[in-house]
Amino acid sequence: MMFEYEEDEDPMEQQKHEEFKHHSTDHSGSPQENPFRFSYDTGKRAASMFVTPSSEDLIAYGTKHLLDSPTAVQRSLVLNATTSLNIDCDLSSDDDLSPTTQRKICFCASQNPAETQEQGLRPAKSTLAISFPCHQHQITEDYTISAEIIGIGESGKVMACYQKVTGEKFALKVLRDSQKARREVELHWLTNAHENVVSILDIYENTFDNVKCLLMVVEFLEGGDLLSQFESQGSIPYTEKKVGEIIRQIGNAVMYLHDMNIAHRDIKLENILCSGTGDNCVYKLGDYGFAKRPERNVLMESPCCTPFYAPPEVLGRERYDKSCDMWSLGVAMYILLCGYPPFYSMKGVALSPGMRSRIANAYYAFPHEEWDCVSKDTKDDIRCLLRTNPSDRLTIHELMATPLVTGEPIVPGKHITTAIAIPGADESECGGGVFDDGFIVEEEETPDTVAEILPVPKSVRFLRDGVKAPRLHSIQEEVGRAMEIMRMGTDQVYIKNPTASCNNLFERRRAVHLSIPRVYC
Amino acid sequence: MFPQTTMDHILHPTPREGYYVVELNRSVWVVPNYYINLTPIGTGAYGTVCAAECTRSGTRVAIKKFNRPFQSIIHARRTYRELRLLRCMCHENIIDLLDVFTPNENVNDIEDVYFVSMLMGADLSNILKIQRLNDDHIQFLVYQILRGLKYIHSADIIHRDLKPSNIAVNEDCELKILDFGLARQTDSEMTGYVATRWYRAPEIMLNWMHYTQTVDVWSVGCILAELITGKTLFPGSDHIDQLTRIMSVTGTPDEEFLKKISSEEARNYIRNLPKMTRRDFKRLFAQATPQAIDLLEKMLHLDPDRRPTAKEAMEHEYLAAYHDETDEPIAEEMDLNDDVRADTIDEWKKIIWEEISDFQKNVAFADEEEDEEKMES
Repeated sequence: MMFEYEEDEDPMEQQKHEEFKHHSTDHSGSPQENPFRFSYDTGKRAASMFVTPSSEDLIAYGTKHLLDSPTAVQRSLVLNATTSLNIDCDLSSDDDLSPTTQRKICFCASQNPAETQEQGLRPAKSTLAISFPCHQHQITEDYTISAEIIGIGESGKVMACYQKVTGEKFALKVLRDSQKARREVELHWLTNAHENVVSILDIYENTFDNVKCLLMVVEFLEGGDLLSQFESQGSIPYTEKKVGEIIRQIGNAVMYLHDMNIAHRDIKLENILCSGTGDNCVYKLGDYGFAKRPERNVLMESPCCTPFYAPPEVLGRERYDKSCDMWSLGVAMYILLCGYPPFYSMKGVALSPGMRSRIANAYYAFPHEEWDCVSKDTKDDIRCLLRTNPSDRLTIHELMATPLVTGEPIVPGKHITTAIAIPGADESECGGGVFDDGFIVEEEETPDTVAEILPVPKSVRFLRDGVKAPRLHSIQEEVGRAMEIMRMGTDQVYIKNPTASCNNLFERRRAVHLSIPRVYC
Repeated sequence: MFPQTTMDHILHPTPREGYYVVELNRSVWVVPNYYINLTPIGTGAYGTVCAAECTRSGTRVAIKKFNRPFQSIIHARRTYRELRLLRCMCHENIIDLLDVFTPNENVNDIEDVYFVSMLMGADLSNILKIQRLNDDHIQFLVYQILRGLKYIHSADIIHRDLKPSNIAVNEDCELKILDFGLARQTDSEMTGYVATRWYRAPEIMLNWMHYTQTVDVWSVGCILAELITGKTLFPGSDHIDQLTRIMSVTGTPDEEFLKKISSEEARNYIRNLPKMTRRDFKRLFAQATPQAIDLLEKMLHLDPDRRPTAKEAMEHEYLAAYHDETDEPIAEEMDLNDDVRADTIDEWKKIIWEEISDFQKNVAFADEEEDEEKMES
């Protein structure tokens, strides 16, 4: 891999750098300064991390080439790190913190300013202090805000608004200014250039009734959210081809985020917006209310060096956050392919203790009535996404290489799969009858075995026996809560019954009870 | 391998004697040697929390590192207030302060402040996500909340922010109230679809009137409802939605209560709302016992004057198995030093430094007393 850094830059890279310089030259006072500032800070702080006789030369080298070639600074740091530390530096294309990723970040940053200019954003006074450009003047100077509520996101309601000059319709999201709101806007801004991410037109910092707000004007997508679209046609399962197209588009957006080390953390059908209702619909990822990126500090400022210094829990945490997105994609695929979620409440309400256990243990089924026509490959992919252990799940790159997404010929399901996919570690537990609601251990599939038709889990049967199922939305909420558990990453604690607990206060009360009968008026 | 000592020396000054440096979640912690095996467990509004083992006491503890306690005068005052409150509180159902320290060597250099308390396994919001509680659990937990609340209120303190995530519980059903005494929540915690507002009494959320201690009883009512159903009772998406959800359960208020609302605009707004009648709690909480429903009826009154106090609530039949007035202590006279004033951050540094030194002195004195007792025996 080291050979890669000895090559001269290829023409494409050269062209990108030319564009980069062009923007910086023509708009020195514009938000384009952000990319320079980022690179400069990175180089400056990263250099101070190395104690070598040549540190002065390193700084001089960095300074000399900083403006000409930010990528070269990263490359020199990598080379120097290797030289001085005598560490074998294996930066594969899968490394999220590779120079390739760094170039993507720089390129993304340089690409946005062009769109910024086209869309009329003007530089704000505090441009250099914030990570996204925003106007200080009142949004009502540029847009007419209507009372129509388009939707509800994690951070509040979304309203329709109209550009005053052109009359074009957009969506307006108002966030009360806070660190969380700024993070949402920043990460959305950072990625909104992608064709499958809802794009940002304008950002405003306005004050209403003494309350400071961030207002985001984003593109309006006429097709609404995918959940509503799916339900409006009676939740009839989509074909594998259609689901493959949806996952290909949303997966491209997720890959874009994950390659930048950003986790969305709230992927669900409601957060996938559609440009229309036809077959050529474009799907876009929205609502960054839970999006997250590792906070930078001295050790993290130079991404190339992170693998050497980041503590294991940091790297693990990053992988953990992104694997939550993979779980969510698995749930979304499951719903679209059969019309109901994988984890179901038995009682017709979204909430039930059993459902939580099923999610926590990844107990779900592929009932044959809906799943016989789905290919084995796709079912296997869903199994690989809905694994309880985050590190066992498919990565986004692996998902994008599956037949469903690439559109390779799909072989119809050869085997009847009516049993539950159960993690091996839980097999004995299930054998012990822990779950008595119709879940059955899956038999090993072999080509020579004629699979029996096993009874479907009760949770699915009631759906078809005429019991009205709760709206997918409320079930989605329950799955969302289960996702919270993974997001929090806390140890799970179960409370003993008071009578079984070792609790001083309880013991004192028990003593009182036994010795003194109570008299009530 | 890169020399560890050299790297540490560059990034951080050598810690003072008895302390060591550990890097956690992209931040640097400097703690006494007797706290080992630090593990990050969460981030709060004003600090980050680690679990650790205390080799001196042999127990698991939670260490809270404040985020920039001297960033502003407001931050400094808040840090001081929490420190004073925790030092003065001494109750089984309220989080206790085991230790407080700063790794900085003198008052001028003070930058970081750490609090240490007993480690509880989880908070109620964690519990509710993974476990359904039975009535035995619920009675005992609600009783303990009210028992702690009686103590807090007897010190003329109002918690104002009771919610499941501020109530720590371990597997032995031991319960402690956390994070109380904050004068105000920051605006960011009151926006959007967030948990803080869901447990707020309407009169405090909407500034209807000067509020009393029974705002906390309203919160306990919301928590009791959630323990029973497993779902948030009033998950409002904004202030108006919150109010609408509340009134759809309590009904719109009568004229007698409206007279108590000082704001004419608020009164007119409520009068113009469509009339709503009080929900039948027996249907709303079908799985609850009649005693629990009766207690909920009393706690979730719009009119704070008609809500029971924490003391009165503990006398309710639902909690009869645990009520014992002889073992529900109130606070002795507390000296919170509320009159302490400082105009600059440096003055606050001095005040907090002295408070920490005083705490350490008292701990040392207590240790000496124990030694004397051992020598005598």
